[in-house]
Formats: sequence, C-alpha cells, structure tokens
Amino acid sequence: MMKLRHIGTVMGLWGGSALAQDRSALEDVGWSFEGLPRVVIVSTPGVDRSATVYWEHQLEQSGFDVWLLSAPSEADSEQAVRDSIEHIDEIWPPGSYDLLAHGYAGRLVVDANPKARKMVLVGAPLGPQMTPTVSKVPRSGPVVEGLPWPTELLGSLPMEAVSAELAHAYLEMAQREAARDPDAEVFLVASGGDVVAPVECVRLPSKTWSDRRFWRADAFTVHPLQHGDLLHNKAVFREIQRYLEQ
Amino acid sequence: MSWWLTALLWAGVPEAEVHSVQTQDKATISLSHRPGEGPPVLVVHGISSNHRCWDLEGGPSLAAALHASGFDPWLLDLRGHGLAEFSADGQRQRRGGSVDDYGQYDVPAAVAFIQKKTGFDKVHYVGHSMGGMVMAVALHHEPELALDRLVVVGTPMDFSDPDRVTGPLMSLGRWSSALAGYLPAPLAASVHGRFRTPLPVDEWLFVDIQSPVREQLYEQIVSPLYARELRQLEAVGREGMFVSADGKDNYLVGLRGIQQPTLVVAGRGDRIAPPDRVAGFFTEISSEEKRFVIAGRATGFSVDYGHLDLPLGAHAEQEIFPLIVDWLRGEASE
Repeated sequence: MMKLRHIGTVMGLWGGSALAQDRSALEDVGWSFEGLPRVVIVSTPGVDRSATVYWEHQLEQSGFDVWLLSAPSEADSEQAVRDSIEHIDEIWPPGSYDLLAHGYAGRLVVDANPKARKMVLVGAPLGPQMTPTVSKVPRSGPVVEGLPWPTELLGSLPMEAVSAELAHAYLEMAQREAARDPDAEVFLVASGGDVVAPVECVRLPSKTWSDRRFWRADAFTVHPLQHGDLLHNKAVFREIQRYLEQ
Repeated sequence: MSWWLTALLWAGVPEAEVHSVQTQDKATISLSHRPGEGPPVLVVHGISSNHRCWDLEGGPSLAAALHASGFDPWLLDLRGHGLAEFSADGQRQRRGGSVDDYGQYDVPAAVAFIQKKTGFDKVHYVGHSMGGMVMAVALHHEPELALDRLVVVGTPMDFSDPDRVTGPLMSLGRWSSALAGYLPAPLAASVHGRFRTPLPVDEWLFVDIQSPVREQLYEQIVSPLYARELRQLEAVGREGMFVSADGKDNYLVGLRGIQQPTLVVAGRGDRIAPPDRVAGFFTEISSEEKRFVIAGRATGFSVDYGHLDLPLGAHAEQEIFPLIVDWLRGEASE
C-alpha cells in the first residue's frame, strides 16, 4: 500500500522521500537520518507548502529528522484532515515522534489527539474568539482562496486554494468551544498580533491543561507578530527548538 | 485626530474647576471638574499617570466628549499624581500610595465628594489601566459604594502565565525599598519625548499617536512611579493574581461581586494590558449586563489599539469615546 516517492528539493540542497497512503502524504523533507529525533510538521490546508520551509530547514540543521504531513489534495473536510493526522499512529509507534503545527492545523492536531511524544502548537486557535471578527470566506464556490481572513491581517503567509467546506470549518472554529487537553505534552506559542489565534484564544482555553507550557511570542519584540510572521521568526524557532530538545 | 473635531468638542467646554479633597487616611486627592448638568462621571487614570491622560491639553479629551454628550465629568488625580502630587498644605506626597490605598481611600472620597456637590445618588465610573483595578479594590472594600455604570479600559486582571517582560518588571518591587519613595518618571518621559531616545518606548505604548500629541503626552500625562505601587505589583506577580500588597486580600473575590453594568475595553495592540489579561476582568464580574470590546483591525477598528491609544490615539475620539458615552447612556449594550 505504501509507496516511496522523491519530492522536490528545498533550497536546492534537500532530497527526501514520502510515505503516501490514501489518507495522507507524509514526506521526509530533508536527508534521512536513522536514529535522530523525529519531528512531523503538520501543514494547514489553505496555506502554501512553502510556508514551513524555514522550520524544515532549521530543524534539519539542528539535528532532527523532519517530516511533513500534508492532507491529501482531495481532502475537503475537517474530518479528512483529522484522519490524515491520526494515520501517523499507523506508521510509527506511540511516542516515537513529535508534532509541530501552525494555525488551524494545530487545532486539528489537538482534536485528532495522535500519540505524539510532544506537540508544539504555534498560533493555533484553541478556543472561541471573545468578540466578533471581520473574518469571512473570501469567495463562494467549491474552492476558495486561502484562509478566511483579510490577507493584510495575516502577515507574510503564502496561501493556496482550499475547499469552501474547510474554510467554513475554520470560520466555525472561531465560535467553537475550547479544545480538550491532548494526551501529549504541549508547548503553546501565541502572539497578540495574530488574528487567527490571538493570545486569549490560546492561553485562556488551555490554562488548566496538564503538561502545558505557554510562551508569548511578542513579549520582547518591538512590533507584534502576525499569524504568518510566526513561521519565520528566529526567536519563535529558538523556543521551538529548545522545547523539542528537552 | 482631526483638529476640527477637537475644536468642536472643546467649544463650550468650561475651564476645569479644581477641588482638593482629603481622604479618610489624611492624604490629598484632586478632582478636576468640567461642570455639566448631567449625571456625574468619575474618570480615573492609570499607574504613573494623571488626569491629563483623559483630558490632554490640545489633544483628545474624554472629558470634552462626556461634557458634549450631557455628562458631568470629574477627573481624579490619585494621591501623589498630577494635581495631587502636593497635598492641600503644599507638602509633596512623596510616598504616593499602593493600589490598595487608591481603592480603599481615594475612590470612596472622590465619590462622596461628587455626590455631595452634585446631589446625584450614584456616579458613573471610567478607569484606564490601573484606574480599573482601583475600582475593583474600592468595590471589594465597599460593595455598596455608589457607583452606577462602569467602564474599564486596558485594565489587566489576569496575571498568570507571566512573560519575559512583565514578569521581571513586576518583580522590580523587590528592590523598591532602595528607591527614595518613587521613580522620577516625568523627567525620564520628558527626555524621551523631546529627544526620542532609542528605547522602543513609543512602540510599547502606542501605535496611533503622532506629533504634536506624542510630545504633549510625554510632558503632561506622566507622574512619578511609587515604590509602594511597585511593591504591590511584585506581590501580584508573585501570587499570579490581583492581591493586596500584604497578599491577604484577593481582589478577584470583590470583582466577582460586581453587579453593575460594565463595559470592558482592550486594545489588540496593547503590550501593557493585552486582551487576554484584560479578559479576566470581563469573565470574573457578575454583571448581567456586560460587554467586552477588543479594539483592533480584526474587530473593525482603524488600528490595533495600544495602551495609550485607547485614551489618546488619533482615532480614540471617533472610535473609543463614543463606545464609552453610549455605554454610560445605557445604549449599545450586548
């Protein structure tokens, strides 16, 4: 059932392999190193694959075996994405990998609750927005362009088409009750400038979680970090690395 | 802020009458009153600030907006701040006070004075930053205090999960005994305002204030930062919740007793009191009529409001003051 395929190089240096099944595409995005700590980056449908390149490269340089989990292109629902996340546990034994997710993928990871050793959730909305926002699905139809927010509020975030059903699910997350405490240890990163997952939608819903660490990404920055900025901020990556190395 | 709007608001606003009032513990507070005929509103500033925060000369003025809307604004200078830096007998109030003192003595004295002068049974309340915390202390000690409708703006009430800036800042109180009672914040502010030091103070305090309001605020709204305030903040940081300086009173208890209609406003870009810390005020109070507003672009405002943008930002007169006025009128509740 599994097949191995070569994926494109990243920054002209990398090669890698992919384990693809019906429900997910799990790609080894760098050099394959047996025995190194394994980190799976879960991408958000609607966000372009290039968004996580900085993390991939930095993690690889820091001595991790980096994999990227993308929902299959035909995944048009929240359930389909959660299924692809749960599928990781069919490939690797419980506790043998860490997860790193940004944005809506983080919420989907928590809801799927895979048996990771650790989870790092960056700018992931875990509870409802406390006041109505201007978010909306930008265009009607079976497929819409990216995340349901005005692009000027998202910072530097490359986007791609996503199913309207998923975009509506993202919108609905802004009213959904708080996520449940996952089984894995969790490191939460949030920024006040992030409209998708402002600090009150990350810190407050998770206050009573066990094994949870929280870090305010913009506590020491001159300017608040927006949603997309979290993906290529050096200080944010340093904290992620520090946590994963513990 | 457009100059004509300011001019319009200020037209017909009377000069402030200044009243010195003695508190029960013999400190002096000051009330700047722009006499109006409507219901009285007590307006309170934040830490290291003064009444000019809400009534900047030549800049945004909630006092003018309230007066123009038919209210009777009374702007408080807590002991040691603004016009109350000196007592009625001319002595410098060097020790200032703690948040406990401001809430337990200063606010009740102000409310009693306003009641006596106006004949109204109750007084509306608007507080910025620590000005909201002071109100919580006042209602903790005196739940029957005659406050009517409440507005708190940029008031932090959740001190858990300390971050790498506010955590160390709040622990400054440990060394506050080395201070001569206070830090000369006005001098530092004046230097920064005039010479634009490389410190990112502007970026931390506001995003939507330009010259000449920027320079005016550094000259007008800054008061000394008192060691007793720092010591209390240290206790708050240590406990991870809003407690008295001696740690014996948990003010969340008093907060939960608040029944008055309350509007809570936070700025999306506020680095001092970010929305997740202000949200604690909204969630803890028992008021049936309450509303939480986060002023930011994602919620339909012009900018992501910083801490000082809320009272003084270029769009405050169009976006924040009407919220406050409507709330005090009993309109626009959710």
